[in-house]
Amino acid sequence: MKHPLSGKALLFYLLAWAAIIVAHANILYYQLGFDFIYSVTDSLIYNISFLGFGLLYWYVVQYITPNNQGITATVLNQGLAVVIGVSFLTYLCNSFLASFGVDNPDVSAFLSMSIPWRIFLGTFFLGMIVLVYYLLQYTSSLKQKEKDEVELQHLLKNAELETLKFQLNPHFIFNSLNSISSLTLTNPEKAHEMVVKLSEFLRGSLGQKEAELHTLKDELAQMNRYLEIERIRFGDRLVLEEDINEGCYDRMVPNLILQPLYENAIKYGIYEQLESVKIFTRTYCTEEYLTILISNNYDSESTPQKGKGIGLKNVRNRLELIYGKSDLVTIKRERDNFTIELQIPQTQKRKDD
Amino acid sequence: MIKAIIIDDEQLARDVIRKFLEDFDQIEIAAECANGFEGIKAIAEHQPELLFLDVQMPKLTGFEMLELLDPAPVIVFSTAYDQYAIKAFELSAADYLLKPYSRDRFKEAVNKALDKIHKPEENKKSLDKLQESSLSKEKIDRIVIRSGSKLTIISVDDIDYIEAQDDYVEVHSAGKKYLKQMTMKALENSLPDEFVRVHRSAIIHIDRLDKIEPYSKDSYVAILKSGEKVSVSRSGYQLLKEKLGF
Repeated sequence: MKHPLSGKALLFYLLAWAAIIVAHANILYYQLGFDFIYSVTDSLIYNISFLGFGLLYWYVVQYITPNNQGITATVLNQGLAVVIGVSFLTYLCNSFLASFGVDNPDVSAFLSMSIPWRIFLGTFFLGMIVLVYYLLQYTSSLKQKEKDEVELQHLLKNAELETLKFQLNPHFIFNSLNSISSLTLTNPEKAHEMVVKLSEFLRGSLGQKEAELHTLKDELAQMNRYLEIERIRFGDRLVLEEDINEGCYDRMVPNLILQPLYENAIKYGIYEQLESVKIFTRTYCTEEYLTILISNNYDSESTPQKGKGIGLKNVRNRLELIYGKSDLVTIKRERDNFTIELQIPQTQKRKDD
Repeated sequence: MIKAIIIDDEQLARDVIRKFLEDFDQIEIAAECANGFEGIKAIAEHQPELLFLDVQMPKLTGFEMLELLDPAPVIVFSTAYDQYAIKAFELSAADYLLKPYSRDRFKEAVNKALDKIHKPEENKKSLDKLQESSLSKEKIDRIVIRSGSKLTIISVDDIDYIEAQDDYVEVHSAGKKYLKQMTMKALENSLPDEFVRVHRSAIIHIDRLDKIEPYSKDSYVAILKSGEKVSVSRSGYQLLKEKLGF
């Protein structure tokens, strides 16, 4: 922490000492009847020394803090240091002022008589300064703590969001590569097409760090790349239908938030039934919300393998972290149809406009 | 001629195998199947010596399908999932191909499979191995049962109890009984923790237990919520005691 007495605070400090200097000189001159030169010199020498000492004392305060020594030790150490410092300084000033007392016995007597007073007053002033230093240090460390706390919360939230973001499924990549390897043998033209699609998809998924949100249009374009690749893999077994309100295209959605939902739909639809799976995507929007529905038919009689709910949980957690609401994902399980509904709040977007 | 069947739910994946098999004059493709159900039928019909099998398939995984085959043909697994390799070799698969694979790698796998086909005595062990494969500590979610041409998939949550019947186990679920060729030991190892082997010849689902009563000096009887009774040995009683903490 830098010296607290700088700028305005330093000016205030100097003014306070100036007032003390004037008062000190006045008392000597009017009340005790010393001559003008002595009164002013005594006041200046004594008080300017303490002024400087007070400024320098900050560096002592920094090394003796309750944090590293405990409160009792700090009070004792500081008390001792202040008294010793003040006594020493008083002695120095007195020795200097003693030259005035050589041919003035009044001055000489006053100097020796006033030592306890000077030490007492000096200790009082310095004590005040030390107290102010500690107060300033305390409030500044409190502020720092609050700032650190906020920073930490922010970092935590970011880290959490990062882990919840869509992670590329390696099986998808390897299965796609296998499809391509097959097409290179039988249908090079189609293989080329699939390589291009896969590249476009990877470009959109691997470099997704920049923005947390993007438009529905971008999201759907990226999802289409994914679904087209899966369509080459699964052929007629994957049927895609959509009802997209183009008026919602510029609404904002979290990056790749739909990917786990399509993955789930394909997993349940393709792997838990022998018939083809139909995935239906529907969107509509109001001022406050963008609604996205993704549904797939499934075999209600099937006995699915367990452990497949992670994708959906991530979507829920991610939306909760971004929008602070826990009820944005709804699951509808009908007899042979499975629907997931997402409500994406749009208030943030309007604020940015 | 060696008869082979390709079972994979993706047409393009089957195409690669068909294409690469052109290098082997002695192998003839008897059928291509898109799922395990078709596979079971085709195997019964053609009795192939060699099987190219995908792991992740609709309804029935390649491993579940394999359980239902006795005797099992020589198998080459092909999948994009490398975590199944250990299990595949436990099941004495001839080889395990990770998609996508090269023509050379495929040849190597087929040559291994051909070696196995020509030395059938080694292959005989495969089913026994399969039964003990649950040593891999992997717990199952569901159990596949075949009776004739009909396949039934039962979630382990729906199993009430299991009794030994000679070389078979009899699975009781919602009042119905299903026979499956498997040892009690293998089944006990692969069932999740809610199942307790209460007797040499019985495993019960503890959620279904209603009460336990003494039967003779050294044995007990477990009465299930359905009213069905299962004998409990002294050591079985101890296991239940530990599990339920009574």
